[in-house]
Amino acid sequence: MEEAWGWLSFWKFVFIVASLLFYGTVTVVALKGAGDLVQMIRDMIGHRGLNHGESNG
Amino acid sequence: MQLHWFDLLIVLVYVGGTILAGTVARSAIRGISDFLVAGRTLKTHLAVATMVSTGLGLVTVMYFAEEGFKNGFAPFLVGIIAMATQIVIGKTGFIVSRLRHLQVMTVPEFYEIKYSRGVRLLGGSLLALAGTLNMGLFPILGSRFVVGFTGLPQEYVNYVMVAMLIVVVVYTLMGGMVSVVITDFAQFVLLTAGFLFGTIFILTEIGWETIVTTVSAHKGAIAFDTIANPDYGWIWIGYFVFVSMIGVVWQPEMSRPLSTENSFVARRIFLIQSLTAVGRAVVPMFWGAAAFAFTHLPSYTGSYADDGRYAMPEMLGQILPIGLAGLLLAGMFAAFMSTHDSYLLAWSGVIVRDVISPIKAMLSSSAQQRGADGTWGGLSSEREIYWTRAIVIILAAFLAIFGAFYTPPETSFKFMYVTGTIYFAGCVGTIGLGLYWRKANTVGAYCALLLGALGPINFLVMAEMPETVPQSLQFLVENSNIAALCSLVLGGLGMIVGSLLTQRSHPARPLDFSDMK
Repeated sequence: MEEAWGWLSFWKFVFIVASLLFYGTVTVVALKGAGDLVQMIRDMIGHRGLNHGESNG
Repeated sequence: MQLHWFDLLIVLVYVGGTILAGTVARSAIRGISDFLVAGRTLKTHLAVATMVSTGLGLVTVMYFAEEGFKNGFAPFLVGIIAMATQIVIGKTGFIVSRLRHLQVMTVPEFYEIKYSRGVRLLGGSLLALAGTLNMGLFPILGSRFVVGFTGLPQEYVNYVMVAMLIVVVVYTLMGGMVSVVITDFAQFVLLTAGFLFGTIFILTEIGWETIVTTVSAHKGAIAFDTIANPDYGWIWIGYFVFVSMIGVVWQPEMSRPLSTENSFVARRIFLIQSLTAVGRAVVPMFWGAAAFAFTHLPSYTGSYADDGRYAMPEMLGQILPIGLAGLLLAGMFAAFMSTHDSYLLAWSGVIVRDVISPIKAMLSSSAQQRGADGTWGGLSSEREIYWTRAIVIILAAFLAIFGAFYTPPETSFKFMYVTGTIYFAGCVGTIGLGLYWRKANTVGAYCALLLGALGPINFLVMAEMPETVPQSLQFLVENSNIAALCSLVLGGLGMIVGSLLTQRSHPARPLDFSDMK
C-alpha cells in the first residue's frame, strides 16, 4: 500500500497542474477565439459566404 | 425530478439560442466545402476551441467518469499520454500537416490521391463502420447523464435520448460545420465553467480526503497504481501511446485541422489544445472517483451505489445549488450537441463522399480527378449536401436503436477504443506509412485495412458469444488490450509486406510536399 501512496502524491500533483493548464488555456483561447467567432457570424449575416478568405495549404 | 424551474430556464435559453444560431448559419452554406469544413476559414483560436469541444463531449465526461468510478485514480495516465502525443504531433506536424496540404475534406479522400478509388471505398466503408459503432453509445450515455442529474426515473432514459437526438439532428441539418463551430464555442465556455464549479463543490461538499480514503478502502492499491491495475498495465500503455499517435486520423478530430487556413495553423492548434488534454481526462475521472465516494457515504440514500454509469450525474444533481445546476446542465447539453453534430456530420460526410459517391463514380467510369467544387466525379456538390443531410437522419435513427439495446462487454471507454481501432489499425499502414514511406502502394493499403480491422471486429464478435471461443483464445476475449495492440501491429505489417511484394506490378504513386508550409 505504501507504493500506492507514492502514486497518489503523483496523481494529486497531476490533478493540480492539469486543472491550472486547462482553465488557463481555455480562458486565453476563449478570449481570443470570441473575436474570430464574431467576425464569422458578421460575415454570415452579411451573406458574404465563407470562401472569401480561403488560402491554399 | 430534483431540478428547479430556474435551472430548466437556463437550459431552454441555451437550446433556443443555438437553434437561432443554426438558422443564421444556414444562409452561409454555398457548397460542400462550406458544409463539411466551413470553407477552410477557421483561424487558430476558434479552431482550438472547437477541437477541444469535440474531444470533450458529454460522452467523454461520462465514460471518463465511469473509468474513475471503477478504477479510481489509475486511469489518470490517459490524460498524460494524450498530452504527450499531441505535443509531438503539434511540434512535428505528423500526418496533420501533410493531409491539410493535400486539401482533403475527409481522410479516405487521401486514399484516392495516393492509392485508388477502390481503396477509398474500402477505407471509407471501414471508417463509416468504426465511426458508427463507436458513436453507438453516445446518445444513451448523454441521456443517462440527464436522467441521473435531474433525478428522472430510469425508465425515461430512452425517451430522453430520442428527444435530445431530434434537437441535434435538426440543428446539424441546418448549418453543417458552421453550426458545429458555433455550438462548439458555446460549449467550450459553458462546460469549462461547469467543470470549475462542479470540482469546487465536490471538494467542498465531499472533500479530497474522503474520496481518497473511500476509494482506497474499497479498491486497494490498484485504484492508484496504473501498472498493477489489470484493466491497464504495460500492454495497455503501449497500445494507448500507439493509438493516440495514429488516432489523429479520426475524422471528427481531423476535420478541424482540415478546416484551418493552412498547414501551419493545423499544426499549431494541436500544440495549443494539448495543454488542455490532461485536464479533459483527469477532471471527469476525478468526478467519477468522487461519485464512488459519494455513493459510499453513510448519508447516501440514492439508488446508484454500484452503478458507475449514473452515480456521477446523480452526485452533481444533488450537490450543486440552483443556478449552477442549470449552468452545468446547459454546458453538458452543449457538450452533447457539439459532439453529436460533429460526429454526425463527420460520419455522414464519409459515407457520402467516400462510399456512395465513389460507387456512383465507378458505375459511370468517371476519371479519378478532383473537380473545382471538391467532388471526384460521383455526386455533384449539391447532391453530396443533400445525401449528407439524409444520412444524418438515418444515422441518428440507428444510434437511438443501438443505444437502447446494446450493452458493451467492458467499460464504455474501452468500447470506444476497440471500435475506433477497426479503423485506426489500418491507418497505421495506409496513412502513417502512406504519407511517409515512398514504397506504400495500393496492394499494401488493402492488406493494411483488412488485417487491421480483423482484430477488433473479432474481439467484438467473440465477446458476444464467449462460450464458443476455444480456451486457448480466451485471453483475446477477456481483455481487449491484446487484440487492439495486435491489430495495430498487423495494420503496419500488412502495408509493409503487401507493398514490398508487389512493387513491380503496382508501383507506388509519389506525393509532392516540396511547397508545404
